[in-house]
Amino acid sequence: MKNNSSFLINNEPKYIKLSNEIEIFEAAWKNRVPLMLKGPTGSGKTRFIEHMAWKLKLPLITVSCHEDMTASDLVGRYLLEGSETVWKDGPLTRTVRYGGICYLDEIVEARQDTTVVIHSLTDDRRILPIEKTGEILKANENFFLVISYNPGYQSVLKDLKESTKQRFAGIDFNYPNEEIEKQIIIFESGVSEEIAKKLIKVSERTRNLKGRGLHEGASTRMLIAAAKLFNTKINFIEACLKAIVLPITDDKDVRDSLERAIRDLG
Amino acid sequence: MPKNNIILVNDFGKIPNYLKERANKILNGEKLSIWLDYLKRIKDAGYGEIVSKGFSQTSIEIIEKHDIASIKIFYSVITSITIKKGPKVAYVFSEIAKEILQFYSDERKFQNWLILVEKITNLAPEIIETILGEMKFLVSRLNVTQIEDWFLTCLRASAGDLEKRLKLFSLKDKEGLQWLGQSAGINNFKKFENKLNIYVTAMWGIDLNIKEIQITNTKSSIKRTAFSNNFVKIPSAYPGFTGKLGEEVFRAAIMHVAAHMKFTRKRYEIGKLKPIQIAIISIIEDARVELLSIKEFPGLRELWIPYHLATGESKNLNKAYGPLTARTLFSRLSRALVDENYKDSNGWIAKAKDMFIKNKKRWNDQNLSREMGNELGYDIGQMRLQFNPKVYLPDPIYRDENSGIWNFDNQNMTEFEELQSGIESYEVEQKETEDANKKFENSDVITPLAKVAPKKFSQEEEAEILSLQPEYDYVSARENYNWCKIRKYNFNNKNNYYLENYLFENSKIVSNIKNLIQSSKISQAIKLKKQFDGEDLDIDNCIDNVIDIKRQSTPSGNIYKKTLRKGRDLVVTILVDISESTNDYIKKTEKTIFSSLIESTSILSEAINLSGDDFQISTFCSNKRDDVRFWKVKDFDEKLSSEHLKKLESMKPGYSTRLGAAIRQGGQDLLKRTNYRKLLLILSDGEPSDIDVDDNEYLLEDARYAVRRLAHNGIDVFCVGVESESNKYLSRIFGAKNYVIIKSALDLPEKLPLIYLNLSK
Repeated sequence: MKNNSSFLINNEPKYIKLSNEIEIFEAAWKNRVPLMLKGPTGSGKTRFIEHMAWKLKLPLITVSCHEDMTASDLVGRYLLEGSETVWKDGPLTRTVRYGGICYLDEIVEARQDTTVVIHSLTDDRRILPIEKTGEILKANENFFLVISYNPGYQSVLKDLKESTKQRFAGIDFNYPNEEIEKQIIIFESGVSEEIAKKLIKVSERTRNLKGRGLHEGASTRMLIAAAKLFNTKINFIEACLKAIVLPITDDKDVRDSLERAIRDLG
Repeated sequence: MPKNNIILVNDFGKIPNYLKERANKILNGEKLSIWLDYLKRIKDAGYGEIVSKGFSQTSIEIIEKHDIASIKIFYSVITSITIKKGPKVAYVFSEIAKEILQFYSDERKFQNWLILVEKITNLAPEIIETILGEMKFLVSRLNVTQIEDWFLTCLRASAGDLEKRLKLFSLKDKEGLQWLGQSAGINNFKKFENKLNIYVTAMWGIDLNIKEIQITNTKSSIKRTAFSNNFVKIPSAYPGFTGKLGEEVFRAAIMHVAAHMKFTRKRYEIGKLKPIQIAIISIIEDARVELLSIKEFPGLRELWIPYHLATGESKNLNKAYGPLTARTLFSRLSRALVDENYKDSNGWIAKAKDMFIKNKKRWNDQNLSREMGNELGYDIGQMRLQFNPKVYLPDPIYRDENSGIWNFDNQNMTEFEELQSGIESYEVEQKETEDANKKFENSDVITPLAKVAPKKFSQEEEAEILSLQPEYDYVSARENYNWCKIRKYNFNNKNNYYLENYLFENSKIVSNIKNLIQSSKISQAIKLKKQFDGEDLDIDNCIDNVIDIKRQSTPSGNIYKKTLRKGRDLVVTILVDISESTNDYIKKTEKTIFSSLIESTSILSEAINLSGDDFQISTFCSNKRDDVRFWKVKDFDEKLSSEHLKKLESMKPGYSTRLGAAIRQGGQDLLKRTNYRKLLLILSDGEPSDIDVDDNEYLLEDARYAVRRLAHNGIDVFCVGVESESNKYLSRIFGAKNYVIIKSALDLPEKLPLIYLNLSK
């Protein structure tokens, strides 16, 4: 663990429990069953994993996946140092070697052929063959793989391979219920209960439009952003428009209607 | 001609004495001589006494009101009409001009009106009498620009059909009235439809199916919204509410219906209730659902309350508001219940308000409305008020006509049929026309969903309406809604395996193209060298870098290579023009352009099929705007099969090319797709045309507009012009880079797949 200690989280990331996700995570960790966190953007997946890493005192190495990501971005590559070539571990190899949680955020964004490198790590072999160095790396006993996955907006083209999907246990995240969401907004931004309630009403309006003009409704993260703007002396309607309506849609009719709906909240 | 401003008695000609006196009184020397000059010109032209009389009488009035400047225009118009329609009509015009003069205090406006009449005379002399007959009505409601707009719209709508044209302009036709409303800017529900739908969904999470009903004098017309389940009928306009006000009244109306859908959970049973009780219960229920909505969205108060204007607080009640009728009382009740700041002096209303507020805790319970209504209904029975359910309309204007909250099943319908103004009448109503033959005519403008009785066409096919599409009128710079009817035609059962044979015989071309597609970059990985990062070392560049280092110069550091594999996410619609002109022979051959078009389409389908892209094939032609024919040969998600080839070869070229309508229809399915790239590929042999349009620019501009619209929505439109001489119109419609011309249709089968390859890269 020595080498990954800089990835330890020292202060508690505040997390408000939605359901039994903490127990599930702990059970999965105990048994080293790889986990998949599913849910829309801004629903608290990343905060949850930070909280769990803190709770379990595990280093957390996060990789934000993207389309151009290659297997070497995960595993590592040779670099030239002076007149020599030197092997540098990628984030995955580093966690496999020294232990900790490797969190592959938004894994469907990565190409399917990239993600197959995790296959040998996610069954009972728990090994990582590094082709370029010829090394077969046995995973540290504290190695734990977690991926996040937003099934909503990606098209069929961007799905996980069946063989990848079936290696994970899942925890489903959704927008928290009104009471919890209110607590979260208040905790994160310090706004009054009344404003938090109103923001939740705004988010309901956008969530109503999911699939009828919007790809996704406003996330809790957006509500917090609006709340923070409001707390910095931006008026409520303006804060909602700038932090919620404007970012989620370019359609004038949708924008006008949401603006109107926000005004109707009084 | 008077000389040196000396007027001689003879100069006046044979005009009545009183006019002479008036002219002398109103006109000074110079003006009088100008006036007399025009008078003389008319006389000399030999238009006859009646024109001279009309001119002299009206022109004096004009001069009196607006001075001499308008006379030149008036003279020009009256001579135009005389030449085109004869002296009698010219006289009618002069009489009407006299009346119209009263409407315009501004000289410029009157002159504009005169210019418009001249324009009408020149463009459509056959309807000038009809339109003059309606002129007072038109001028009283529309400004000159609006009248002109309406005139041009109706002119286009009637195309070459004289009978229809007369009907449109006489305002006896639903359609003419519809365009009139549009020109006047009141017929604007369509404009807000999308926005209001989104708004309701955002507010309540419900989807409404809203149908606009044209305001006419027919039975099917409605003055208030009506709903049943999530079907809503809404008047196309609320008279008097235009522009922003128009949008707000529609919003208020739809939100009221939505409030019922949210809070009136069960329809009320009618039982033994009398119509007056039903009306009262409905008012209480209206107030209940509105207040519950306002509780959730306080802003809705501002939306609804301003429409409540009924009041009993007048100093002289009887004089100002007439006798106390059920309707005025009900309007005040409606207001009293929702507007907390409103107090009414009437004891019955005060009691109702009191009772309603006392029961605030029960507002969530819909039985409250019924219980209160029963009690209040009993009280009102004692008042012996006149109540006629047949003419009763709930106030204010945004409220619905109440039928949506009542269960009319198993009821004696006659008593309540007026209250339930026919939600079920979604099927097309047939109205009797006024002509002696008592023919039945389909009023198919009611709704796009309306099933229109099939007309018989020469191809002996039955054509149902697929959709109604707008068309863009470049003159008024506006889209006319529901202008073109797109009809779905059946396929002939012709089957001679022509295309299958063709593909077989040209298997070499087909396999060449298949090879080409397979070896092309479609879905294949691209190798990138000299990369800053990547999966593998790029050995050549590594060596270069090491050399650089040894020579003590700075290495580039780009020593990786990687392979890039882009997923394809493309859909394409191939739209084939099968108008009459495609029946022509390709130059110096005995083959038609049409056969080349369908041959190349078949080869292209094979090619696209191989590339794995999803595609649709459609063909179109048109026979005026009411009959744009559209065949969907292959739909998205269908697997390409010999069936599609059979359908394609069963097509028969004919009629015209209404390109814009076809582009809109073709684009409609594409719009629904979620793919990253959407392509509409058009194969056509000529510029847009149709027999009901003689203005070449019109369909061209419309097509251009349709293309721009699609482009705006992320659809690429590309046109392949076949056997086409001129590229001017193609470049105008599609833009300089979005078309290609194939001079000989013979080359098409081989070239088309290449074009597709380039486009789909």
